[in-house]
Amino acid sequence: MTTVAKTTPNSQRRSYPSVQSLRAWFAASPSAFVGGTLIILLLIIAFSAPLFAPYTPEEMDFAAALTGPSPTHWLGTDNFGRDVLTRVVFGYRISMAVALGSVGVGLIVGVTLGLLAGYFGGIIDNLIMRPMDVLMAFPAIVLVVALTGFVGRNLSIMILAIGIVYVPIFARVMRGATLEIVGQLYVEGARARGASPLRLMLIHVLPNAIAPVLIQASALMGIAILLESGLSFIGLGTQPPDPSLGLMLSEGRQFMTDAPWMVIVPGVAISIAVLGFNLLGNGLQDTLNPSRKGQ
Amino acid sequence: MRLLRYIAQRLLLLLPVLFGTSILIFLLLRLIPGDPATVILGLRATPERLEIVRDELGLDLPIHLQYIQWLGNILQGDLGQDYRSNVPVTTLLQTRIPVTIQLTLFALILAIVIAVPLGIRAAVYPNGAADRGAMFLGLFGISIPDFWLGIMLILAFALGLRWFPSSGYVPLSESVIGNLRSFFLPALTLAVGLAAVLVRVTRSAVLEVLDRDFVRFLRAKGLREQLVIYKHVLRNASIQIVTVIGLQFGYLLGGAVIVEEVFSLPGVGRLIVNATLERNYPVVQAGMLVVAFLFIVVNLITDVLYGLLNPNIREGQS
Repeated sequence: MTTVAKTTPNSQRRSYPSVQSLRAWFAASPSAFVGGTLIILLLIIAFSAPLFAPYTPEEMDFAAALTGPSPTHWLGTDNFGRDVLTRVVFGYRISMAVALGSVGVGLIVGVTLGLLAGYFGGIIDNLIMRPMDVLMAFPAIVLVVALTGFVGRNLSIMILAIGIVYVPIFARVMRGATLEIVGQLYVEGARARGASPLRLMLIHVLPNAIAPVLIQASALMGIAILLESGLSFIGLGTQPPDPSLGLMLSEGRQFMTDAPWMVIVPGVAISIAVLGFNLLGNGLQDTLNPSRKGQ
Repeated sequence: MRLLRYIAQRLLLLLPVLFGTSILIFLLLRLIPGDPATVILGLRATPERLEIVRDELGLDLPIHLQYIQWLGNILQGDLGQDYRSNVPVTTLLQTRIPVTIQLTLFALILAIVIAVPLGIRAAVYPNGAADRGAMFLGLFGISIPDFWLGIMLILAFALGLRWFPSSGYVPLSESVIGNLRSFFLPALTLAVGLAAVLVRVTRSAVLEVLDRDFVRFLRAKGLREQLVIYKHVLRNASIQIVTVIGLQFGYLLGGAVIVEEVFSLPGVGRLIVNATLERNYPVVQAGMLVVAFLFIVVNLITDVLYGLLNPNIREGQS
């Protein structure tokens, strides 16, 4: 995906920690740099939302309802006269919480299961991986719709539901990577020296098998944002009056001919966040897995 | 013969997945706290109606017998009853399934038509305009939410230029042109995400094949470049491309859930969403069953195509 990267000597990185290391990072992988910077900025905006937002997300000003971008409301207002920019900033809070939370759940459970399945093989492998096949037999959104629909519509259930969908994905990637590492000589050597399975898995296998998992994690954070906004868009995710980007889009639909900013702004906001995670994922792919560069 | 054995093997491997899938869907309704009959009918249901539903679901039986009864009904083509409208769920699905299948197939064709030629060109002319276009599509296509893209397309081409209807569905039997027009924007919306993945895979698969010795040989032999690319390279690259198309079909089915909602198309996805919103659980279960079944069938077809394209499997050198 990315263009040719120049490798920078490590020594240079260490001696000039600030600007130089940023430059080195950029040179090594422009896409990881742009994506990473974008994500860090969005995280800062999301988690200190009240500092950045000019209004509060529920503040209504009916006199100013459905007005376009102006100096007082940079990105216009919605049908209740709420400030669109403010709601986007607070919407990022929900997006990022879902992205980090769901990938966290999927990562912890999936990596553990994949590690166990790949390390022990045999019956344990089957006991772990066959149920994973079942979870993979549904398109993600259908499973998430069903789980939130049957269990309840709120933020933690949404995070959990998307996390459950991610478990088999992480488990498969981790299992594959573990299988590759377990056969290596140094693992054999450590085992011959009498290292316990737990030690082997945590010290020798996990750190060496984690790279493809991290690449996957970045892409799945982007997909989590898409799932959350999609779910809220169809009415099964975040409930009004909370400012989810997907919910803003669905609310804006009835006004889209008169107030197109109500649908354009949240969509662009979602795309920027997802783009950030995808760029970061591509960059990690190039850095951590150089043999697949450019694919 | 080898191929047949390979297909039989795939079919056999499907059984545990189908079994597990059915258990998962069955359990979803039982996981909701409270009496399933009350959950299905709502709190204001009369005792007589509750009794009928309890009896039909076999709720007085132990749970494993309930499952066997439920599965037995499904295998006989009885997907249960929509207790709100008293219509068999199969009747609801009959009109819905073709809409979803037409939408996803249309999107699949559009995605292939957009992505495969672009991906080939990007690989043959690195850093050219096609390569840059492929990179752009590959990155933005997976970053833009499909429901938003749908709304933007409606704004531009339906409400603005009035080339297409903004929503609604014209059955094929009514008007072929009308039907294609009502499907074009939703299919395009759905196609972009798949095209993004496909263009990247096509590009890298073709690049990889172009690097092989036999291509150098064919070129040295003086074979026309067009023939080298479209006959030999593409055939070798197609294994990867077909596999990814199959794997991504689930994405289309999932995307259809939301795209049908945006364009008000009466497909299975919209049925699942509306039924979920109304807490009409038997309909949700049936919809999920259909989607999982379609998904599994597509994966099987992908496996078979993979077997047909891959000479190692076709000729049995495992």
